[in-house]
Amino acid sequence: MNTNKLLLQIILGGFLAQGIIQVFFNGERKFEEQALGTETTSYWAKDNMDSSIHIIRIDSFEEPVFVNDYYARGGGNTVLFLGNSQTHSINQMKVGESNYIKIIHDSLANENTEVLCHSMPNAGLQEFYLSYMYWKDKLKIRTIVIPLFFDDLREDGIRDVFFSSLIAQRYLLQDTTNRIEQRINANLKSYWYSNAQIKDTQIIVNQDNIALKETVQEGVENKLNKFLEINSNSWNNRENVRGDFFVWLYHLRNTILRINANTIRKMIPKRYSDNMEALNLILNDCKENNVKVLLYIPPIRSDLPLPYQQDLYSKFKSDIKALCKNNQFSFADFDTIVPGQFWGYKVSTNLLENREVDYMHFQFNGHQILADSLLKHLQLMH
Amino acid sequence: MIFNSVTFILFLFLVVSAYWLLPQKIKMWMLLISSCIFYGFWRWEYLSVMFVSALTDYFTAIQIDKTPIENKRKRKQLLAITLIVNLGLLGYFKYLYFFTENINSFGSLLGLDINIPLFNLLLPFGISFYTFETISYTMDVYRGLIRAEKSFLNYGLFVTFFPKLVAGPIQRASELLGQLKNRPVYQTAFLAEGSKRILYGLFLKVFLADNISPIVDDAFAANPDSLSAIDVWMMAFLFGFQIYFDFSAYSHIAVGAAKLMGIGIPENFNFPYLAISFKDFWKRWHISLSSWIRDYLYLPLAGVKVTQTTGKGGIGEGLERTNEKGAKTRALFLTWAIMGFWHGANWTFVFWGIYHATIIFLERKLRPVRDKIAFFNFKIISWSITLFLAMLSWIPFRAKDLSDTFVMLKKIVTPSQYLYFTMRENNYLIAAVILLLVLITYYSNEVIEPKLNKFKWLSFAFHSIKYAIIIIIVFTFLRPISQFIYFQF
Repeated sequence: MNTNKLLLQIILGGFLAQGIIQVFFNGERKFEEQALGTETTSYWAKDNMDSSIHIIRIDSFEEPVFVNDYYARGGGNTVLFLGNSQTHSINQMKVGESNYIKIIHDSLANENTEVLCHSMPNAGLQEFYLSYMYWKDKLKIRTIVIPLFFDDLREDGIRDVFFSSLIAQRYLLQDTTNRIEQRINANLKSYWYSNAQIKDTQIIVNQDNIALKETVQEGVENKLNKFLEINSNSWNNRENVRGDFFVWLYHLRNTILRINANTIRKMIPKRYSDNMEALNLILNDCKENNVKVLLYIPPIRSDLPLPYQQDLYSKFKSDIKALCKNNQFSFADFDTIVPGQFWGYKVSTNLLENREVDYMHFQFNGHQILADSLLKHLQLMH
Repeated sequence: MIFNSVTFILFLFLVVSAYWLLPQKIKMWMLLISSCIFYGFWRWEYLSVMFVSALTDYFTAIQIDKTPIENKRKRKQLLAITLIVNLGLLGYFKYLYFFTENINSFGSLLGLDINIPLFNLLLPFGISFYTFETISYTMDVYRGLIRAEKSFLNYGLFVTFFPKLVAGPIQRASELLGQLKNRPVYQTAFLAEGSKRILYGLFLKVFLADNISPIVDDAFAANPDSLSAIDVWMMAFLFGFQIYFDFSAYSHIAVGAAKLMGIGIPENFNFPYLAISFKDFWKRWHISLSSWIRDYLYLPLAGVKVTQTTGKGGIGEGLERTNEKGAKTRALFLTWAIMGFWHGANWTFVFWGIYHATIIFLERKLRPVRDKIAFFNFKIISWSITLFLAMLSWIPFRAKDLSDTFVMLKKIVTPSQYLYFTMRENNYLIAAVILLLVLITYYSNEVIEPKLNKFKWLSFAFHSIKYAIIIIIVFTFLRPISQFIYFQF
């Protein structure tokens, strides 16, 4: 090929790329907002003094506020709610509405009990386990409330974006006799050198016995990245663009394979068993530390056919019920408590439709019903 | 320093600019110092290991060259020094833990209380590559194929030249020293071709390899007993693609970075997953290593005198010169076991090498039968068989140990293990889509682009848009989140 032509093509490609980057790589977009769409709004619960009681990401922004506010309020006995996007989202939210965490918090305000929540979108039980183990050293947890989303038992591993402070602190689970704990630690370690740091995989024969020093490049790369982040909005916005790209790929896949919210998701046996093992780890630890447990099957839109394999879903519910009975933990099945009119739609997950049924996120009335149901159980437990 | 970082891009820009701006005499020193800085960005202290290897070969090669051919004994002694030092370094840093651990285990099997302390050492990056280069240099001088290099600057640059320092391609002295001495004048072609290769490499690494990596890591972290045969195939294919994209990315960037300075480095890959036999595969995969193995292990072990040295062609060339079948087979198995062991101090790599040797052996033995059956002579059939067997070979390569390897391979031959799967549906889809994309890329290169090139403006626009997309993707995904896989070898 004519080399001048090749060079011209690359230069032209560069200019074209720069133009596209300028147009599409600017502006503030939160990845989780985009995933939820315009029908659903994220809601972080706060108490009446505007003090934080609800956290989504354990990072350098949210965690200090959450923990400091807790201690400022007196650092009392805590009911810790774990959750996913159902917890921190309100469908068709109107001014003044809140989620079930805030409603429960306000209801228990006079009982000298802290109501705190950590929710993460699509949280698997391995993430719940890590969250519980982390918070139990920082908060006086007396009760833990765990929703068991059948859908989220397809999830696996730990996502760095929701645990960045743990990664920065090099936090690891201390007791690693169980394979799930080992996997969680391996997962955390794998992030230690990512995120604007060189992954220092100096290959060593036995990695656990050698203290790794930082490379020279790590410092230089961090400085260069910081310089670019300060001076280039486009560079700063790359994470959002990567998120957008994967959302687009996900929509493309759904369009080609004709997948929508109604499509029945198959359970993945290995992930299911890993998540159930993680749940057992939480329960065992709670038992050892006299932490009361409420496990519940969360509400799902039940006036329409469920996107689950019915036989597996029924078995899952009876397994959880039996687990609670055997260990004397509280159990509640809330899957049908929110009527169809209190649900809504979400932005479509394929490229051809505008919206689709939302099986996960309900309106404020749904939050009220769930809060009332949970409060009844909590009162019975105490 | 790793290629997939802002630091490297800045470093390369500065080095290449200085290279073309500085006077001839200074630019080589600049290049040598830059190469040391490049390596030192990982660990300064390990530069000394590299220089022990380099200096040993520099002096022994000069001595060998000075010694008359008739004085075979002295020449052999000098060659032995080179081999002892280089293989000693490799053995010390790469294999000491493996050997001590195995001696202890073997001792306990025999009921002996052997307890040799285990030496946990940091493996110097690129040691397997630069020791092979220095060995080949001295061997070539010993064989009389090249003369010893008197200038330490030129020789030092041959060893340390940063684009190929850490993970190859393994370069022959005869191919690089000449270029370093007779440096070309600046041409736009260097800039164009070099930039193109670097962009391709970064695209393969930051977009493809790095995004496949978490799926592969996750899958191989699973308990192998819980996997199905379909999972094992998916893992084999995904890791096969990951290592190909990752390693070919490194080679593209290495070739491109050297090209920016007008220096040619041998190609390492040529669509290996389109091979129609294992022999063909090894002419397309890690060509510089298989050519090295051919010239310094395979042919000598098969009793063939090596009369030329080149990093091209891959394995299998030149064997027609031996008629002794036993020697061929011995050489084949021994070479591949060593090749496997070169990759890492683990029995899984030896198993991987022997797996390849066995298939090549079977290909040779079954050739008369295969030639008679028309079915096997359809390209698509031989391609499919080669592809599946080549992908399967990545299981021992990536598995934690031999026990996991055997569990996974057993799944492959158990029909009932094909009735279910345990991973996310996306993983299987991704493996299938990537295979399709590899085929489309090949078809596009071979068929569509030549046709498109007839329409000048259309071709120009097509390529400009292609580069725009690549630049956007590289810009978006450029993060030093992982090393190149071959750094560890």
